Amino acid sequence: MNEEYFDVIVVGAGHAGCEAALACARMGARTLLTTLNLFTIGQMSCNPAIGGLAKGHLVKEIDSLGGEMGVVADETAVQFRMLNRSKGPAVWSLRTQNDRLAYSQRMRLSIENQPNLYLRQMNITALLIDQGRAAGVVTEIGTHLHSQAVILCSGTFLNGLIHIGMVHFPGGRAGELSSHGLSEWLAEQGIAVKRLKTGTPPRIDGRTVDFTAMTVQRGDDEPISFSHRHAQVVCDQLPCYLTRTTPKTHEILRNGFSQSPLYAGIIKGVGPRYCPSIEDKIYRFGDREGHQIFLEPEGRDTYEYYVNGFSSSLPEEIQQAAIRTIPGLQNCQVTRLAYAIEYDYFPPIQLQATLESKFIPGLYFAGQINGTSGYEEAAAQGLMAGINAVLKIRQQPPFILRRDEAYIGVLIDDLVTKELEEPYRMFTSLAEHRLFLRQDNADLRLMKYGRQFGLIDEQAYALVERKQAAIEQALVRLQHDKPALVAVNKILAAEGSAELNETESLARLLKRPEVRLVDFFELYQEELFSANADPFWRQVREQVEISIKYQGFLDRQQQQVQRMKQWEEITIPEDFHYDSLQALSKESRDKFKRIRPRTLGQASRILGVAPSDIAVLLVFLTKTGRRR
Amino acid sequence: MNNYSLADTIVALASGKAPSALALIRISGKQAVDLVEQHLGEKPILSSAPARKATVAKFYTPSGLWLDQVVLTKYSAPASYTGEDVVELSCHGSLFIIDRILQSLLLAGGRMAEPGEFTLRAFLNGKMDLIQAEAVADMIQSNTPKNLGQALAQLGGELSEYVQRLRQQLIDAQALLMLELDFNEEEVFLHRSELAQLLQKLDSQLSALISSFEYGRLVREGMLVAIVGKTNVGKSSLLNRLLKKDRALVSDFPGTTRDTLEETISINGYLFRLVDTAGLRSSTDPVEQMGMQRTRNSMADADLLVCMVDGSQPEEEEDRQLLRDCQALDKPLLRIINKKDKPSFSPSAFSLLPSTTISLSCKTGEGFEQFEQALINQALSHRAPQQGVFIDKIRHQQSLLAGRSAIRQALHALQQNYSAEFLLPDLTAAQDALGEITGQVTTQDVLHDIFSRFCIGK
Ligand SMILES: Nc1nc2c(ncn2[C@@H]2O[C@H](COP(=O)(O)OP(=O)(O)OP(=O)(O)O)[C@@H](O)[C@H]2O)c(=O)[nH]1
Ligand SMILES: [Mg+2]
Repeated sequence: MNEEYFDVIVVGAGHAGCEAALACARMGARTLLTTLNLFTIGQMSCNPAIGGLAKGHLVKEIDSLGGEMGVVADETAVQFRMLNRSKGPAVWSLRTQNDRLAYSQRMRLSIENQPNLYLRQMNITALLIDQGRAAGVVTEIGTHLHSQAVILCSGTFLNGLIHIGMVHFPGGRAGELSSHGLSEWLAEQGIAVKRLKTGTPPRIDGRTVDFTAMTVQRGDDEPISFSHRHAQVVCDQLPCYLTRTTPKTHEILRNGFSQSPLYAGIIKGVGPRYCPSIEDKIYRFGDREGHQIFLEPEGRDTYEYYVNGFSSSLPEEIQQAAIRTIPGLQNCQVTRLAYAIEYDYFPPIQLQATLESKFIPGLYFAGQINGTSGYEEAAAQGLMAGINAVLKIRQQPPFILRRDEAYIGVLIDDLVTKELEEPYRMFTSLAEHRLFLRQDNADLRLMKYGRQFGLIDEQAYALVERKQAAIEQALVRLQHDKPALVAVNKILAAEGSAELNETESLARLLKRPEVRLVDFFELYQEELFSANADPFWRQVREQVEISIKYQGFLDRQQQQVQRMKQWEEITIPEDFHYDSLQALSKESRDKFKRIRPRTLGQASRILGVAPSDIAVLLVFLTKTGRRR
Repeated sequence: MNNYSLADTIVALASGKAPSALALIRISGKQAVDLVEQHLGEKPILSSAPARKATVAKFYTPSGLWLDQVVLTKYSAPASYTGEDVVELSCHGSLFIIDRILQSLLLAGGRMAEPGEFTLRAFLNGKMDLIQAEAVADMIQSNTPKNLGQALAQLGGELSEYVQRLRQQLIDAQALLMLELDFNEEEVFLHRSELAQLLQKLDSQLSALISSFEYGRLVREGMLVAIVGKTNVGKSSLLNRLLKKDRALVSDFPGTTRDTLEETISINGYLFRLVDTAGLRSSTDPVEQMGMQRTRNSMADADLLVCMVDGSQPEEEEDRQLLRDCQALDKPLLRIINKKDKPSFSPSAFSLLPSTTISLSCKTGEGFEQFEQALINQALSHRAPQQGVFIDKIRHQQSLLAGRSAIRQALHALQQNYSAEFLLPDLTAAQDALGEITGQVTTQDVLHDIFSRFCIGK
């Protein structure tokens, strides 16, 4: 029998698998990455875009930890847009449209170029277990591959079932194989398996679209990149197009409801509430003034467009008829139909915060198999699982990000704490400390960890340290610098801001919403004040202005962080005997036993736990000497 | 509070201060029956005794010395105060006996209970919730009559419901703002004018509640009523009649009362702390002057002034001066014209006042019904005007103040057109603060506040 040895084996080369494998290999582990198809590495199976609200934050964080997604997204983008510019900096979020094929090829190149990383096309059907621990994988044809850790990133491929109307057939993505055997094997080991559903919209031939009937949406004039590795962006950007569904569209879709596998009860998995199919939107939100439809280019070397907002599982003829009622799409040719896909996932409350299985040590789960949707969520998990797998092999302390440190911290804490009812998607609303978790400070928050694990190079880290120092210096200096009254008033007058009787520090002046550091360039001929400064100084200035202008908000958020920390510091012993606490309601007790929260803070975030039960735990843990 | 283990069997004197006629010792925990049984002689008595029935037994020290005849009542888990096995032992209340019994029980493996530990166990065993535990703590602290305590507990429920309604409005608004975070650009789910209105309304509702604290204090501690007047008008007689006992000295000699004297009474469940004061007149006696200074102090502290005159005597300048002094304090004022029974009684001779004037006789009791009703009306008039709920705990006042200040922060940011993500942290803070009142949010501070007020044995 053919046998081989690795440190880590990563199963599946989607967004989670690629990050996991790259992280392991970069940390020095001999790593194997397996995939069903070498042509679809890092495949964008849904829309041809990376980032967006909250997800853009994830990409920035992945990048600051030394992940690959931001780099590949930047280099294969066909459009850059910073969303939410009209709001505060905490909710600005970067989104790129990407060339689907280029993304996949570029990611494959990163993987092929990575020393220590071996890429193989093979179907994994079981794991090797040695003394209860994951010890490798078994392929379809019986090959045994040994390792100290296995990271499962098999996405929607596990028992994937595709639905188009009443027709359904097995598949991972349309046109690709799904993987069978592994789910069953894991279920046999006692790991719970459940079903979820997600959908994808149709693609159309851009040559059959009347773009003049739509609103053009172009990229930013001065694009900002995801990756710290790309200081400047050079991109020939392609536009997207915006249109809306009409009452006629809705009528046709409604008539087709009876033929939807969802309403007919054929699909058992639970679908996402937030990015619902078009029939779901009409069913739930009614007609409104039509629902938004975005046409997004699939790439530079194709005419195909992705019809974002028109996800559906209705039969072909209904899809075809409905789409032609949308302005600009009257004559469109559908190149690929929309479909819904059902797949297995393993409820992630079965995982530790390192994404390691609670039942099979050495086995990690990352990505869509944990019930998440989205490339960015998958990539973030892959990266974290990869780092933790290597740390564990090296017997080093685990790497767990807190909720006040990163969206990634929120994501993973939610996954291992809250029982999912639908695919989990990252949202700004989920991050309670969102004023701190900005896309503009991901490097300041996280690069130290990336550096610590050897995922960020020395040069990049030195730069971020320099930036941190420059910010601190500037903050001190602005408290003290008081420009001359006459000069200040001249500047204030120019900005339409009330003049002063007595001069004030720059920091105080900056608190006025209309006042900015560049307004003082005349007085201080320095980079910090220069509109034409290099990116380094522009970033320093941005951080300084945010700290000063939003200080009150940030201070109050900090208090909330502190309050939450108190709860996180009350730990619950792993073997805590919940049955001994008579005062707990049965429902909460069952949840605690299932999820086994590590801290009182985590316990309080479990969905459906009554506050009175948290009070009981609090009293018990703080008052009875059982605390460890 | 200490960290104490639930595995221990705890012991404490549950009745008040010794010495007393009888004393009650409470034992709770797995070994409760065992600990006591060891001291009852050869034959098992308690283990075979029926639960919830009194058993008489002889208590011996570990060295076999017969100590006392005790009455034992056993409660089996979970049907007891703590939800554990409990034994209540009543013995004679001498210090010597109590000490020896406690010592014997500790020697046998019991542990002295910490303050509040019985209630803590009751809470952890699901016998009561935090609000009830807090009510126990309140009860211990206050001198409130029992029926009033129950009334208060009910009012506590009303308060929590009321605050929960306010809190729910915040939660709803927050949910809409959250949606804005998760949708693109200009989608607005909650109109800002609507939000501003809501926050302003909440601000004023919280403000009303915050000021109702004063009323809550009156209910809890009683309304401080200063009885003032010239010497010999019958102030001490008035106090005695209200108390229905001869508490204060009464005599024909002007200047009988030298020092202020405070007594608490309950009329229809409303508490009053009545202060009999030294009569006011010009005097050079240093002791009497000190007494009159105390009278002035009482007037300053009082929630209600009862200004008394002798209706059988003509009004004098001293009466008028005192009346002016009372009015200057700008406090609720009752005017009492005493000695209605006397033939020379002539109320019309006295200065007219906008406040309630009552003619009565401390001798016959005539007019007292009206007087008591007037006192009750005064208590009622302090009730928080709009919502009919009030707060009576400093803890609640603190939470409300924190909640209001967060709401004002949010309102301020809203008026400056800040987007949703800036408003949310303050709304969360407000919601948490209100949650501390409804029991939705339990912080360590809240727990400390509740459990630190217990005494040993509870
Ligand atoms: N007939 C009659 N006598 C009264 C009445 N009330 C009080 N007295 C008498 O008036 C005298 C003074 O009564 P006190 O109650 O001692 O008067 P006081 O206001 O407390 O006097 P000082 O303590 O000296 O300021 C006593 O002899 C009482 O018996 C009343 O309603 N009718
Ligand atoms: Mg007197």
